[in-house]
Amino acid sequence: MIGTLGKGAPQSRVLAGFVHCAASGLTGAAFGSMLGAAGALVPRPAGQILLAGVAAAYGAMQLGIVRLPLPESGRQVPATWRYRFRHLLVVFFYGAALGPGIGTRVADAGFVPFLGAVALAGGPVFGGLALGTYGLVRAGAAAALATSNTCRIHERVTFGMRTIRLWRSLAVAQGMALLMVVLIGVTVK
Amino acid sequence: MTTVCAPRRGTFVPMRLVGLVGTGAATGLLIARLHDGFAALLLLIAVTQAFASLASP
Repeated sequence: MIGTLGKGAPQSRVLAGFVHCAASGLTGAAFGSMLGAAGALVPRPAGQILLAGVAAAYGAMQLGIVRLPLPESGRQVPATWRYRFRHLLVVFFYGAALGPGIGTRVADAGFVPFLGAVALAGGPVFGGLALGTYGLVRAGAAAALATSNTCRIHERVTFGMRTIRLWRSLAVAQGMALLMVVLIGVTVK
Repeated sequence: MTTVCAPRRGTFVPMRLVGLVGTGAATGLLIARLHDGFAALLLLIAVTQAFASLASP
């Protein structure tokens, strides 16, 4: 992905980054809105009990206690798109595929309670905002890495793998915080 | 001598996890008292998960 975004002249890379961010943010927001709209149909007490159960179960998975299924395809974005479509269209499609977060691989089990909380938190507007933020930050980080120092390609490509322990540690603490908040019974109006 | 320098995985990792879980629980208690704290927490989780996803393209 970073290799694809980092292709071409500096101006072309920046434009590709914007297209990628727009696609990722839009599909993330659309998916979040759909989740929020669907979650609004679930009765409140049942929804909160369900969310607490999901947060506890996937929190245990984050700690390595249990192994549960993840909402993922397990595949990377299709490499063949790079040969089939024009460059800007490819980065748009890659952004669109990565924005919702479930198109490829889920990196951390804390993503599942996050999706549950988005669904049950505050309806389609907040759902769109939350997952739109996810899509935008995910694509923005990849675009920023792709347009950074082109001499250090190894450092750009391996950034995610080198920093994953930090994000997983933060995700464990945030997952626990989410569980506490749901158990106490506070949600977005 | 090498056994003295070996990493103490059995104690270090659980202590780190206990620290993270404890910090998370305390943060959750604090957030529950804040106005719009839940929304802010979800946005923080969104950012964290977005950066974590960079490890799996």
